[in-house]
Amino acid sequence: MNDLKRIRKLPFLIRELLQTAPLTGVLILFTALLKAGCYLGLIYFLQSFIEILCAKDTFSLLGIAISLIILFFLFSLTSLMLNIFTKLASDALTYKFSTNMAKKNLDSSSIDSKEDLIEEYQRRIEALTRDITLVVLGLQALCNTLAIGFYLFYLFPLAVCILFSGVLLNMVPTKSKSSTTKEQPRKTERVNKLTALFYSPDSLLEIKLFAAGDFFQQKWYHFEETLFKAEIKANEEDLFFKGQGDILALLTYLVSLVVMGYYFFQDKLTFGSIIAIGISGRLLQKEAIEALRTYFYLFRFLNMPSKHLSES
Amino acid sequence: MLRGRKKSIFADKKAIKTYLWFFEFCFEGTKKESLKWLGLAIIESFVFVSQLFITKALLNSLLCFLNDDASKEILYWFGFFVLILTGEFILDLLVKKTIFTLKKQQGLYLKSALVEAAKNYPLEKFTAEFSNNTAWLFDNSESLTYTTTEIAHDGLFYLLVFLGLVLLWPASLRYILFSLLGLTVVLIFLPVNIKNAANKPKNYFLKLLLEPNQLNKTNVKGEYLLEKHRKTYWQSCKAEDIYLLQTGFLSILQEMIFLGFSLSLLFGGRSFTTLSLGDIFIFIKTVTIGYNLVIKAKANKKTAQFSKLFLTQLQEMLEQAKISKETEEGDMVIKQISEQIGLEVKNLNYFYDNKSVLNEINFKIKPGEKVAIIGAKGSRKTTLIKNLLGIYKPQTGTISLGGIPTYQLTLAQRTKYVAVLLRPAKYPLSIKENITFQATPKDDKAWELVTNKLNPLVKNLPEGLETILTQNTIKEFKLTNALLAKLWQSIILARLLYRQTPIVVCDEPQNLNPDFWQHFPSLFKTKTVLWFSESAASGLFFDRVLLLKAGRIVEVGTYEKLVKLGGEYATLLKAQGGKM
Repeated sequence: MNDLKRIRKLPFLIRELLQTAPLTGVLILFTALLKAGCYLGLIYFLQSFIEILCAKDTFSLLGIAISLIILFFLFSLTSLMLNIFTKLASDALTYKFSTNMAKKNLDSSSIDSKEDLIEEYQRRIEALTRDITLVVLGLQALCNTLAIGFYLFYLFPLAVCILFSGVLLNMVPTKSKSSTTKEQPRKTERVNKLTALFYSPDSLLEIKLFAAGDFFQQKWYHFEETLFKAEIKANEEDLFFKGQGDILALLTYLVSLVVMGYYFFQDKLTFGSIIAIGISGRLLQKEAIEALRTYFYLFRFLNMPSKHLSES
Repeated sequence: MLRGRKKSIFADKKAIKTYLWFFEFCFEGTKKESLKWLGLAIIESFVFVSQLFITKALLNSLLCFLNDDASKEILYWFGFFVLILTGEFILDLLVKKTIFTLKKQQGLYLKSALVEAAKNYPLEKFTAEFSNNTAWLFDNSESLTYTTTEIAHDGLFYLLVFLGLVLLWPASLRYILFSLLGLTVVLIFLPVNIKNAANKPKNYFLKLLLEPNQLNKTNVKGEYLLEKHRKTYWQSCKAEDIYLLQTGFLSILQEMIFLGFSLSLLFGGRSFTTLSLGDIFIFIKTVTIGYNLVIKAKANKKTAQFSKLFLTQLQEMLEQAKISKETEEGDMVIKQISEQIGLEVKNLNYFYDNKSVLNEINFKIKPGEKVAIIGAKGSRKTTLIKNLLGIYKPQTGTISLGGIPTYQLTLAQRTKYVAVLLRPAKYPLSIKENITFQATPKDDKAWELVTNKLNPLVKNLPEGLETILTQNTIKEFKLTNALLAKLWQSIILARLLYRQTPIVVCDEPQNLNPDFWQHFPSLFKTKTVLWFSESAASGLFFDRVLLLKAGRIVEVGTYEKLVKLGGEYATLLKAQGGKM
């Protein structure tokens, strides 16, 4: 539920994107839809490929194969364009937020005392690139899910219901944020600051002049090892919960295969449809889970200091 | 933008040696986990090949069913298919867990080695570029070490899959060889390297914009800075976009060539009509494996080329740091220094790139004397400090501490006699650790002296001297900026006092609290003080003042004498708005 509440922050990022670079925003949406269309086309032609293959019609098969190559080319091209547009969007937002921050700092007379605060904002602005990329990835996964979902619904509505129930079941075994996970960003920040001491000539000079190398090395190792253990533990917990969710999704996929098998034996489904649903069904689950996870992950960390970053 | 063919990394014997050294280095640090991952490659390849043939059998039995050849086989194969899918799923979890642990372990191992090396590395070699490269190595330690093991893992996996396919279905050899041929076409005929024109990373812009020192200017200068960096930023972005587009199109071209090459086999092969649906499935999978191999080989080649410089630096760092440590330890046994010390500089000259930086510096400081060396920005104060401390070796002349040249002193000897304050840092540790650089203070007497001075300042903090001054602590205890600045200044000065050394060398901290000068005589009563400052007014509190200008001592005397003289010192004092 907490994650769902965080989704309310999505409009902030989208609003900023549309205000700063409206054309890029529209192009991102358009390319994501185009890419989903190519995805769908690939599945459709694969289905036709199988159907024709069963009929051993070599001539038609050649046509389908050429269509597949063209679609694959378009698919790669849209992926590339989407990357470029995402980069343009993140460049524009980074520039806007950095300039706003800088202007705020220029107006302030007590810069030195705000050094820590500025560092924090800088970190957040740098994280923007990650957030924008995640939003686009999520958007892409969402478009793919809808495209595949609609096509599968056309082929076999029951399969879509079963497969989507798998997506929902996947989300059930979630964990509440443990104390190790909550403490992680603070620990990481401390370790990063200590690590920076060993590559900055100024701090290395001071460490050497005070003969404090061994002390800092021990301190660094202690914090790094604690973080290492916490990360391993968090990853194991994460894999355990994700694993449980994935098993449930996989089970629904197998159930959908059995149901399809039944309809196939009843001559209500063609062989090509079975292959298409078999391949795209798993893709549908993966894309839908990906979209949900991306947004949950994004909003777990997204806490934009909107007041300071957006004001100009 | 497009450059010609580059020399293959495989032809660079020195690079190959470096990669092999690094591979050995990574493997040695995490032998157990690396072997576990390699072992998993065997199981993965077995499961993969089994899945291929089970799916083939399932598809073929489905086709038999279509041809009204009803058979129970289809049910058996479906059962196997479910089993292998479950097995693959569990294996995937195990692989993910192993990879994560291995990545973290190898990262920790490499970072530990880097910390040890940086600690012992000679400072004069730690240039800005060297520092950036070391930072890169820290940031990319996990991916670097992981890539080396990944190459071994993937090599084993693909080899075993290849053997399995050929043994179980000899006809696949043709497809595999054909895929490999396609791969060779892609790798050999399209090895165009595109130069990334984005020289200055965008983070440079962020750093410049948000760096307090950069912004601590007048608004006019600030606006000028913004405008100047705006151009650099967008130029950098544009260059990155062009690079992305070029590499992207090249990748698409490579993919299309590979795909076309593979499909031509399907339609050009005489045996097409005899292929079953299952065979075609295996064909598609084989081509996919080949394609993945291309992608991974390309990525690893790129990583290898990119990281060559960093790995060479790492190797050099580890070796050099080992030598430095041995030398330092060796010196400690040989040299002894007398308790009677005085500081004397005779005919000191220091050159950098054949340019004279310090010119004929001569002075002598008696025990207990307090001397200020005043100089404006660029007067070479830092170079003089580094020469005095033995970090730089003077080209001519001598600096002696107790009759021994400072560069001959070991680190331990130097720290026993001289406490230094030079660009002090605020460490993310407790107040106590920020002063002592020890987990528990070893010198009780010195610690008592320091705590007596600090206790009034920290009395409101719940953990007293154990408090860690983070952004959260500041917010939680509502520390005002003025109090925080005063606290940090006291902590930094306490670092000097705690050392209890007879000599103190200090580069005056910025924005020094005016209160400080009231306590200065009592704080450094018996010590010999060498105080470096930009502020001419600071000279008032010292026994003697030396004016440093462009690497030369131009005036020497007491504060009063120099002011009366009306020379360069007096002019500087007047320019800084100080009292005359």
